[in-house]
Amino acid sequence: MKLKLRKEQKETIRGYLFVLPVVALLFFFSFYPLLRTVYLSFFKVNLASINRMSFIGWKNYHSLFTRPSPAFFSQILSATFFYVFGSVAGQIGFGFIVAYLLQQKFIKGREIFRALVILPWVVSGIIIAISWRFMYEPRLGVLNHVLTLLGAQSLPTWLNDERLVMGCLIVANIWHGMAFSFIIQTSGLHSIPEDVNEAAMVDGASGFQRLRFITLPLMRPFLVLNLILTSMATVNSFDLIYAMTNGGPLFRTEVISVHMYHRAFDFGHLGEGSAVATIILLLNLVLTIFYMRINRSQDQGGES
Amino acid sequence: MKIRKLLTVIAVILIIGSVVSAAGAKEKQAESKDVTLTIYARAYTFAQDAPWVQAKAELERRHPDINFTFIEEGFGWADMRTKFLTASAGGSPPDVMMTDIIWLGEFVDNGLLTDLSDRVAKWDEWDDVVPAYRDATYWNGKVYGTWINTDVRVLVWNKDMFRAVGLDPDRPPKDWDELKSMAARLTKAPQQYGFGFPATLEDESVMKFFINLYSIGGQILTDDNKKAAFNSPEGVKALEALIDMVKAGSTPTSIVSGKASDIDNGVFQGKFGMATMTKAYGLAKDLIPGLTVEDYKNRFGVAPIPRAPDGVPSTMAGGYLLSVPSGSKQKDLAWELITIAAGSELQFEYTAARGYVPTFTSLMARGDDYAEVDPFFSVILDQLPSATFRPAIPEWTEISAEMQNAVQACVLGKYTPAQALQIAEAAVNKILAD
Repeated sequence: MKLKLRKEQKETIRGYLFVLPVVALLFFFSFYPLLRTVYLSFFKVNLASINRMSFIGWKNYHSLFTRPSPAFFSQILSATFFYVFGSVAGQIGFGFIVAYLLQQKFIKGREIFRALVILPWVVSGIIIAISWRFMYEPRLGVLNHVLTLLGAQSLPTWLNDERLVMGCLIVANIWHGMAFSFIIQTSGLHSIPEDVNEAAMVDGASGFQRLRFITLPLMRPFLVLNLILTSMATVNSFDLIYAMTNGGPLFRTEVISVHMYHRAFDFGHLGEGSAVATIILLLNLVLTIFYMRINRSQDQGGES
Repeated sequence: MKIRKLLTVIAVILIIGSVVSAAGAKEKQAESKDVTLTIYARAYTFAQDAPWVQAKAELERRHPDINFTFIEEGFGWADMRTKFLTASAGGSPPDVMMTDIIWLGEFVDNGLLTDLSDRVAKWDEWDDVVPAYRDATYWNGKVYGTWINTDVRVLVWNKDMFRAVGLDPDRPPKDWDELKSMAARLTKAPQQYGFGFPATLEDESVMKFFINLYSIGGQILTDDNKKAAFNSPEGVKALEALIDMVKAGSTPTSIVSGKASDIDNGVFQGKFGMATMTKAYGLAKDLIPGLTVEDYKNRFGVAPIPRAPDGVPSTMAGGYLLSVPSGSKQKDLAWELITIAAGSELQFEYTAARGYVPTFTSLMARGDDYAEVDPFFSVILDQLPSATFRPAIPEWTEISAEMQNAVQACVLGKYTPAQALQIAEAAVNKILAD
């Protein structure tokens, strides 16, 4: 019996065939490792003996949540929250300020400045970490040298000081990641029609009023996109922290990604590392849902 | 007609020639084979002639029929272990692994190294290995590698800094009290400090505590390696001796960041007056271009580590074995390369060049030869009887991490030594119980 397909059905099948290679690639390189990580989080499995696995249920999660040092909620999640909040606020804030300034027509050579702002973004996180470590070095570092020239008597030890270290990391990360926010904000600013601003100027709106009532509301979709993408990137970021502080001192900068690396690779507890990775996945999932909801509400707001 | 005959003869000659040459090529191909050997080792070992450059050349000389390709992957200490574990987990381990002696238990218990007992028994240099070191290569009664070098920690001091503050440059401190008072005199914070010890999250950081611990009569774990033993009155005193240096301002709190090697380098750069370290001569040469033996003797000194008052001399030993991973596909050639690289001839060149300690009895007797390249070699050698190895148990990396946190917490003033050791003891006992 020969199967007869209608033209639309053939089109549909052809469409699926076209996307099949990409779906297959996504499955093997994204979904499978992801599912495998969740699966491993329920097993006792060590890096040194990866083929000897034993099912232990929720025990990896239990150990993770009950370990006194570093305590998962009060140290790991708290460090992650401060790092993400500080970095995202700084990157978006400074990214917007710089993008807004470089949008002003009175600034000459704007393209050159834009290229300079983007420069840190293309440098590897490890290189940036090493550079900033040198900046913060207590004896030979640039910062303390400047403070000495200014007559400071007591010099901070930056990365060794429990109170300062997180701030130091956030500053370095803002410097590194601000360019991404700058690019998004610049695109957003370009998308605002000039005649809207010109009309407001004719109506006598001040520069601050134009920023407050025209630019910022029209920039909202870009700011939201920036917020979500930067949050996700910061939750997952690893190289800068690992190379600058390795989570120290005293776990003060042990954010969740660094904790995952320590458990899985330094101590070889792959199952426990997978449990941490699963929690990172959940955090990303929450951010994604948040982004999708905001996006949907914006779309609905735009349609009404 | 003649032309046709001539062409026929030429054609026949060409055909026969091509058949013969093809057969010859095939034969040649059968004779020579391609072999790739991958070596995982500390990065600095590839930067000098001995052991690898010479060992590879010798292996190639012995096997003219083999086209060798050597893949050299150089690592820092911690990265090397992680890379080896991940490569083994991925089914592509190297052929030769430079195994820190403290990783031995972990690697063997997980089946990652080849039992070399039969091979070493046939190796003519095996009997020359110092018995104590030979014994240390055994795990569960089998041999899993042979030493490329061992090391012991010694006190190194900067004589220029001693002279500058009026201290006798040829009289180092002998006990903790002298160390403390001399360190205080050498300190001109924040430019220079009297004594440096690392409090970073590295295994080297806890060595300084262990040296003090053994000097005062304590020990790290119980004899059966089942429980922590460092949380004792001796342990508290040993850690207090270090933390007192920080409290006195003779050691900066910046020792919690950077790398342990920063402290060692600091002695040669005039940042620290004194520190305990291995391979002092190799480091000094790396940092000071054109440093002669005379300069080295004049500017730096090497002595036994100051002991506890009424304590015993103490130091910690470490070192590397060369092993054949169980996943290697070229075990015979890998072992042959190891016997050359870790043989006495190349071990002499390697250890003398870096200020390491040899493991062959015949080399121990060549003190005069070592003294020509490292003027303080006899001091280093004298420390061997008082040297202790860390327990090479599979849980060591995690245990060490708990101790590193304890030292760091004390340096930053979060806990007293007694509190920190109590917390570390509970954590270590949990690790050992699991």
